[in-house]
Amino acid sequence: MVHVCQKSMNTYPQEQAFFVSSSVVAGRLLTVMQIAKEISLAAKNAKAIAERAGEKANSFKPITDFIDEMGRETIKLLEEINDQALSVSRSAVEELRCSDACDKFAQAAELLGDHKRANSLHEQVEHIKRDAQSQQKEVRKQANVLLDLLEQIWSCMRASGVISTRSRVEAVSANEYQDSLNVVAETIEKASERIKAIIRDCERTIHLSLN
Amino acid sequence: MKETIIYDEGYQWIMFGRDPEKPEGIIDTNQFMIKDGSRSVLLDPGGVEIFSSMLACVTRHADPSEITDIFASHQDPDIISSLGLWDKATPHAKLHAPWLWEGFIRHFGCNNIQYCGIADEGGEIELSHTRLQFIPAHYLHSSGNFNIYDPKAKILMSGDIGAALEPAGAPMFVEDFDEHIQKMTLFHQRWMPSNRAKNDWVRRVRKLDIDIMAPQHGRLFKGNDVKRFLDWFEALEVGTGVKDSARSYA
Repeated sequence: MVHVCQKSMNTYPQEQAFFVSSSVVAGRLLTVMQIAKEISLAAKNAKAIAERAGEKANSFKPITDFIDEMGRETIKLLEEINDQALSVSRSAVEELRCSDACDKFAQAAELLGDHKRANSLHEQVEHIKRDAQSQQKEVRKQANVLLDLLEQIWSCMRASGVISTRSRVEAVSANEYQDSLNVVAETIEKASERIKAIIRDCERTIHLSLN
Repeated sequence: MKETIIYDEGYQWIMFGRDPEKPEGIIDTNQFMIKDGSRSVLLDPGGVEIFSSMLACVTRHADPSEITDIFASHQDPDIISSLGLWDKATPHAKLHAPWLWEGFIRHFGCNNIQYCGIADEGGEIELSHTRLQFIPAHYLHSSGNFNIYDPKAKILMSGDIGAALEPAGAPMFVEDFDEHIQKMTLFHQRWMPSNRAKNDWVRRVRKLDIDIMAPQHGRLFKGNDVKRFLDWFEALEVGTGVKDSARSYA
């Protein structure tokens, strides 16, 4: 069982350098991965209960397949998001290096004053500035891909709300299995709420450091 | 950053150091540049904190595009943590550094510069007027470590060997060797791990014809002070950290 610490989720600085925040997002998504695995486990439990209940849980069986599929899809999406977050972070580090080099070169040019070679440094500053700008564009592009992927997870979790409501409805007709199926529905509901909270937090972190 | 031309006969050896703008708390370092026609070599170009001052100094003597080679005696940050920035300033340069440290030094950023690993036995770089030799100085202090010897200028850039811990603004050359000993003793005893490596280095370096021995920290040695240094270093017991800690934990 993974315990998500709500406090720690909200104690990161709100405005971080992007190369930090994207890595932080990748780290937080590992927690989401654990929660998604809980959903998959809940799906397996639901399947086992439905098997035991036989005809009494006939209408519940298709839901268990759906939960299972949702869990697997979430995990797959999370792996993709994790790769994307790390890729954005690497681009952001490169952007930072370019900006850092720009600053250092500009300082060196200033130290050279009117020296005949100062121009050659100014040219290099311009060249690196162009590199930094193109790197910045790349970071923004990749960040948008990351935000799109986070939105897809969010949609998945919204669907899970519908599933858990449906599960509760179907559980009513499962007689003595009602409580067990309600536990499954509750597990899915809580897990998806926790994932949604983390996803929103990640989105906020990315927006803040991009602005 | 102060600069001193230490050799100027057809080509130049220039030393940069004693930087008054250097942030507090970081060790003072000597950087060297050999300018031979349209080709320039930087020796131990220093840490990221002094990069701007260094680039400005270097540019006074040569366009960054003329820096064709960089030498890193070993992997320490005060030697080469500026690599990621030189990588942007001199993307076509070659970095000559111990093969042993390649995977480590690349952490400083080496996307454009070509890493040329120096074999344990040493090697050479040929310039127009001279042929620089990489002299093995392993375990003095780093496990993969080289000095540079220029047989024409008779200069040995000795890295951490001969280094001294001194206050800012110290003179460029040793003036009174006996007085200078106290500034070197702790550095060599504590940073250098191996008496065997030290004695082997002394034996090999005694065979070289040296006018100036130029360490990466502190003052340079010239004339008879080079021999005085070799005698003093040979007699010194190094690797004292083991003994000291054994005593503390006994």
